[in-house]
Amino acid sequence: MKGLLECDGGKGVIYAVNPSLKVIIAFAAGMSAFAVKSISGALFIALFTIAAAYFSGLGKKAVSTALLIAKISILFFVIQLLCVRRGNPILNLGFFSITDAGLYYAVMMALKLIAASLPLVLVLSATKRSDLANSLVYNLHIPFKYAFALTTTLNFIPGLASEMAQVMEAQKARGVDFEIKNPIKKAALIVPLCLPLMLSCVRRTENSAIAAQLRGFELRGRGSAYKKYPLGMKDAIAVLACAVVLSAAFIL
Amino acid sequence: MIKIENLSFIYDGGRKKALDDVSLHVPKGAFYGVAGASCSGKSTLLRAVAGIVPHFMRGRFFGTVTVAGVDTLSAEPQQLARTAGFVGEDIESQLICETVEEEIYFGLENFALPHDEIEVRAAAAMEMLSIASLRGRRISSLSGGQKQKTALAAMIALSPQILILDNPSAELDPAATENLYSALAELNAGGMTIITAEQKAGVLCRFATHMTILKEGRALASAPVQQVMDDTELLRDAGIMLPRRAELSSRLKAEGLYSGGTPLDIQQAAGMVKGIMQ
Ligand SMILES: Nc1ncnc2c1ncn2[C@@H]1O[C@H](COP(=O)(O)OP(=O)(O)OP(=O)(O)O)[C@@H](O)[C@H]1O
Ligand SMILES: [Mg+2]
Repeated sequence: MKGLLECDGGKGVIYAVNPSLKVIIAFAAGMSAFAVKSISGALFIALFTIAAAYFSGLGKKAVSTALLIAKISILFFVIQLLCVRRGNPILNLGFFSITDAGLYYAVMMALKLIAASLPLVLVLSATKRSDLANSLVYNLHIPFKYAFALTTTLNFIPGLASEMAQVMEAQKARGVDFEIKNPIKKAALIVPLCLPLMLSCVRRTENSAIAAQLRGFELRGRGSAYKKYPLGMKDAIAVLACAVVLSAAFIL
Repeated sequence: MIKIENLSFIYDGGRKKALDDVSLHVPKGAFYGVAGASCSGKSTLLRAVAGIVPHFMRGRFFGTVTVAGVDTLSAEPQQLARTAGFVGEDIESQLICETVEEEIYFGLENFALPHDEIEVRAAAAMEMLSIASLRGRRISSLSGGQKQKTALAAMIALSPQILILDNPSAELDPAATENLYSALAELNAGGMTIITAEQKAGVLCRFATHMTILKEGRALASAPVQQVMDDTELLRDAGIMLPRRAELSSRLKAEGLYSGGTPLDIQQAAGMVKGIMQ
């Protein structure tokens, strides 16, 4: 989990595109991944995303993220597999039977989940929060208040994760064993830790909001940011490439 | 510069008065130290000066607080912010950006300073607190002391007329505390009014011009620093740990060996000892 959505700065295609634009592109890619009709279309989007990540030095991250989402989608996979009744049965498991159509839809579902979430996760990993907020204000004319709230919420996730890790370390030091396999027992250990953690995070967020206001955050206008975010040639190429890839995905 | 008259405050949900009939006058250009034990109301007093109390942290508010001629009740804290910069004690929550540089730019950008000035001011503030080398670092990778300095630098870069700091040395080692207060003294010499809260009196009595001692929400004394430090009984009563030189001078006084004022720094302490030996 650590560093999942954090950007450490880097070079490559994903980094070069305008922050607002790449979030829009990622959304478009994600939506398309859900809308495509075929396995090959979803696969195409996923592979293309991984390729773009590779050329931004994020190849490893892309693969590990894809695997993480794959793990999460196992549940959906199993449900799909067991519940689809159409098609020719290939395996009989008493009450349930697995059909070829069931297998097809289950694979498609898992692939779509991966292809739909990967672009956004990668783009967020290659975009500094401040750049995203500033660009939303500059390019899309969104009031800084909302842009800032959005990006701060994004920050909340890695913050919560790292704090959770700290609390679990502390509990381990007191002899609590988190390495147990049984997921229900594990949840019973972790869930009670979550609530106080959320509360302390909320309190800190309140204090942060005060600190931000005292530093004039409500006064910020469109031209205030130190960096500028003009749209250029690179961005036009990115839009074009995205349009080509997504159209191809629908045809496949 | 800051005028507090008969200020009492009870937080919503709190039973005790966090502040109880406090009156205080901070002259322009003063370096005011607020000392007191834990829960004595230091943070609440500083929050009241910044307008956080009662605008953001609500409760029952009695009395008046005037900052640079503006009544804090009638002004929004955001309006006060350009005059009076506040850095709170929970340092984690004072930092809102991802990197040190962004943190320091944040306020400067918000107040729409010209671009070339942003860079000049940011660089000067980082230089002043010797954190220039941290510029590109992620906030989450900093030590407590580095975070504290970053939060301070971000505020100093805005160069407010009044600087309000709650427990600024909490995360700092003795050497860094020394550097911080030297930097504050420099700002103060440049005309900035400074008000800082500390639990310990040691560093305050060396750098501050005036001091207020709080106990359970009441101001036991508000006076020039020498006068406050001379009343060691009062300091002990307020639960404030005395610096060793003050402890020493008060014992020597009790023994009838010394009759001067409490030495505020090592030089004065050395002078005191020399005087007795001769
Ligand atoms: N947010 C709050 N809500 C309710 N009560 C509060 C709040 N903050 C402080 N208090 C109460 O107000 C009183 C004064 O607290 P304050 O934080 O001002 O003390 P302090 O001198 O700053 O202490 P410390 O040295 O520990 O920072 C305490 O009794 C405290 O419990
Ligand atoms: Mg306090």
